[in-house]
Amino acid sequence: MKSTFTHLVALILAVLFASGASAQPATLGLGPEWREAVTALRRLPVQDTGFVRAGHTFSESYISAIAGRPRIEGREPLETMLGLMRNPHAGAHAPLIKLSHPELVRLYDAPRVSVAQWRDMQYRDALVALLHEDQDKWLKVLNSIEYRAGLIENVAGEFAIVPREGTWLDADEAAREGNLDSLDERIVEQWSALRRALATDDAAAGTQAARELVQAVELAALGHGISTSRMKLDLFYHTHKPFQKSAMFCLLAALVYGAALMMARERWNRIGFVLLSLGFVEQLVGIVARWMLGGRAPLSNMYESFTFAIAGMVLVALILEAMKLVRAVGLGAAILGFIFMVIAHKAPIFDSQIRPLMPALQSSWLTYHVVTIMLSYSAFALSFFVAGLYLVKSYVLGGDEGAGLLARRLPTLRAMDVFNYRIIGVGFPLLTIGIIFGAVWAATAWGRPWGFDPKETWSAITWLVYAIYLHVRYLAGWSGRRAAIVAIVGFVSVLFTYFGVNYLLPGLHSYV
Amino acid sequence: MSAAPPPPLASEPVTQAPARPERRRRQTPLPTNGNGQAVDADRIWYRSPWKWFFSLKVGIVLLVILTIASIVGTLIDPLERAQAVIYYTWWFKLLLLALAVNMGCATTQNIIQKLLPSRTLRVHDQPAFFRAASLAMRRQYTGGVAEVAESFRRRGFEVKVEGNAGMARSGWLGRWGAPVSHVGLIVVLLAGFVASWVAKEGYIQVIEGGSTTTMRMRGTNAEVPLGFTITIDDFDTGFFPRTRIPSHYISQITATRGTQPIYAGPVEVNHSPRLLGWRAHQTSYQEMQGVARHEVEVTPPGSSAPIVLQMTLGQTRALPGMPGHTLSVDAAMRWRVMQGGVEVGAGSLGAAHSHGSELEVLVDRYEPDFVMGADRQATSRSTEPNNPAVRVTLLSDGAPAARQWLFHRADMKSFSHATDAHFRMELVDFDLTDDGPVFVVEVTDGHDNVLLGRVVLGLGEKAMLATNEPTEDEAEEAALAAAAQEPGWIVRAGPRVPAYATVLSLTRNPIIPTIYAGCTLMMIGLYMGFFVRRRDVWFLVDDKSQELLVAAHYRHPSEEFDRTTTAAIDAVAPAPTPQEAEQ
Repeated sequence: MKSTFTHLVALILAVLFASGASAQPATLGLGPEWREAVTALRRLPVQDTGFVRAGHTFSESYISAIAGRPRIEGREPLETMLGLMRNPHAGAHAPLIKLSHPELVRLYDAPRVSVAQWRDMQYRDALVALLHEDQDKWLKVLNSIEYRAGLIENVAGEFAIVPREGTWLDADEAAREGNLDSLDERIVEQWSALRRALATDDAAAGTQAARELVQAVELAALGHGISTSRMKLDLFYHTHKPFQKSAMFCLLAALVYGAALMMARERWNRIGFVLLSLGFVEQLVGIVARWMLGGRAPLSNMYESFTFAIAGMVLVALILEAMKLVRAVGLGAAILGFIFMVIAHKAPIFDSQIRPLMPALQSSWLTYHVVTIMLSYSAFALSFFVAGLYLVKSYVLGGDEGAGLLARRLPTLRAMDVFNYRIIGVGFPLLTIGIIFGAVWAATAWGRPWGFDPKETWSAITWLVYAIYLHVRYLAGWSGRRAAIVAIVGFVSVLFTYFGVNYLLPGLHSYV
Repeated sequence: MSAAPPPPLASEPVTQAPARPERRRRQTPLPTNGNGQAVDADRIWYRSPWKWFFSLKVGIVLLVILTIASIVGTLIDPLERAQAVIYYTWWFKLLLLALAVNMGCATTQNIIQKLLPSRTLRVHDQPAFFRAASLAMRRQYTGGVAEVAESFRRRGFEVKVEGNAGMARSGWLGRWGAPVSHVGLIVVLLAGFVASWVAKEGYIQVIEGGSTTTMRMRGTNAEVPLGFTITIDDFDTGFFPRTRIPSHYISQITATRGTQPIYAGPVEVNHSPRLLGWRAHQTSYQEMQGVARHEVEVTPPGSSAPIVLQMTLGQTRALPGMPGHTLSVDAAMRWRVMQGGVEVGAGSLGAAHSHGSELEVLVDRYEPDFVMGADRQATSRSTEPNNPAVRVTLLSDGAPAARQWLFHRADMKSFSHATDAHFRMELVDFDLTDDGPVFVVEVTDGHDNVLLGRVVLGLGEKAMLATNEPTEDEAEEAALAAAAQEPGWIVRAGPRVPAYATVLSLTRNPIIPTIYAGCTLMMIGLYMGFFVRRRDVWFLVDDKSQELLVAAHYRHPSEEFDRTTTAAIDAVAPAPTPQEAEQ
């Protein structure tokens, strides 16, 4: 009994090896002389979560999984990983582990703890009490913290750099397994050399070993169909960060468009158009890069579909801007593009990592379904912005005859009303086709085209709202304020279908 | 893209009116009053009971009710309950049917209207009409109306001229967009309505190597015969390297009717084969707790190459590569090889353990809802079997060799850590009987994972690890059978492996092609309605003022004349230059 308890507590709470909280100031930095080694290792092919990634990408996701952010004290994540390998003691005492539950943050009085703190006996009773309170919940939470502690303790073992069919091995595994070819031997040897250099803080030897290691792994990876250009693309995507750059361009475009609107400068509008176009180019670069790296259309999770919808919205706005239909549409796309991009990168619900496709999503219908749905959402987002602007101008600014500067500068109410109808006239057919594609896919995969899954039902509700908009407008003559309000209700329904259903309602679409 | 309209003549600016008579007519259905004037059907529907079928208001009300009901349904958890209380109820289906009928009547009316001669080109020769139009222009013009008509005809317009006035129309296809898409939606709704009666959906849950001839119907859970046999030959799942993300779920199945094969191949997500009118879909799979499954090595007589297959206790499987031969293993781990109904080999799988000693299993503690107390003592949170756990001691020649807590819940099993690496114990099944809890404990060799045996015992009981010694009767039976057996069959138990049951759903929905046809009509209709440009243009040559008056109405509201209309007008009455406009 006692023994079982010990094991249970050891596994769940990880308090067996209590070493006290007397942590010395820990440093994981390697010093500037290691910069070349770190730079060389940035393109080291490492297998991780279903893909072979560049060392930089791998380290970014690795350190983020521990600390919730890739950079610790401004260090490159790869440097932090090498630091953990060089100095496990410092690693055990560095406050790296992000505490994912507010109760734990209160308990430890810090948002992050070190492995030593995590295993400090003085917290054991409190953790046991939590476990006693709700075993199922806290098992999950504490296991996730223990997992992070495990990542810190097993850094070297996570570098899967010896290529094999299927799952790659880390150097130690490969050495134990034996049966190494000459390239494998070179990898194992250079890996050991790198670790020795780290242990002795011999940066020159470390740099030499890192370079040779990268060469050897690249050669071995080539034999398994992983080219160096793929690593370069991976590195480019994760260092250039095209989606973040697009957010910046959207912000600049919004500022310029805003200034153009207020000061009636046509030339500034053109500058805004160019800036927004640059934002779209960055989004396109991001989408294409993810497509090439993932080997499938980047539409498989919330992050990918959301960024695609943002790009679609900006593209539609650029086309409409070029057609000079409504001036405000570029401004709307720039503002929404910036806000949405920030949400996509800051909200914890979005996972930007490229992951393999789960079986349910391995269908070409995924592309058709998501592309059409997301493009319809893009159109509805613009409609939402213009409808909002309509109501502001109509209610707040006194309409077309309003005395204020903004009232004079904004498009006429009729122009916005007409635009709204036309953009919904684009979004509605796309939404219908997207829902139909989804139904065909469901019939293929599950044998029934419709099952009233919450996501399905909410997409139908959204469809109904826009159908009501079109009918009351065309047949009952609704326009102006009433139509704008229905358009806004429609977009609220879009937001709930896209975000709300996934996090508030259960269903089959929880992954998208 | 709409071109900017030409600047209006300085003498008389373009007239902008908020509304046009056409809009009013659009919302006016067929009925007319005694003077032949149109009457709003929505206003009289309550007076003529059948009129509600055509009413837009009724349609909107139905849409709103359906929307609200759907929203309420999404708040009900689980989905099956929402389906039972909302989506699959008679009243929800009735609402959908009512919507389909309403749309059907309105669409029929719309189609009739479009076909009526009075709805074809209608010329307006009163200048007041042009002044009231929301989209209008006037140009200096001294030519005839025929030239204007010809200019529109050249651009693909259908033109009608009466006196000095005319009407030009293009995009007839677009006018049919709404009826076509509505017909498509009606087909989908009606097909869905019919499907709710005729579509069938059931499921089977079969362990690897198992067969079934029945399925359970979704909803009622009634067991119904399939009319054929489905055998799950194999189930395979894999993970992407260094992740817990599954890469595939594949059930290899064989479907036969009598001796006739229907299908042999994979069923996987997004790949659903057809089996005699049914479609088989890979739905899920689960590891079966409490089901012992082992690798079994079968070496036929005279062969040195063993056949390895996975067997569940109590199962019979065909021996691959040996037609007519089957291997069965019963719950007591006795095996039997049959050929054409004749036993050709038999024996016991549960070999004596390799440690050369007598092993006994003792269950001395049971906690139905195991939890670790703050005092570091195991205890129960309640008497409910929420987290059943037993403390088991393995005795070797009477002395404790290993002791550990065994958990029944899958998520707790990893906490059952043996105190002796030589042995691994697992609580493979747990049952509450009238006589108290009964546990099935399995012991495997800690080194090679080979099964040493399993015992069934209650709390406080001690049992010898099953060595599968036959009873006297069994021994006698075996001796008799041995005479008829081929010598030399060797069957050995290998390591224990997880036992998976695959869940396949079987669907039959003959209405799906009709639903697809409806969807296709909808898409065609939407394209026609939203993307084929429709233009109605009226023109009047005013000889007195030597002007050409033009008014237009587009299906999609616009603030400007479109490029084609403008080009047709420019060709006969060019827009004034800025200097002319100034003069």
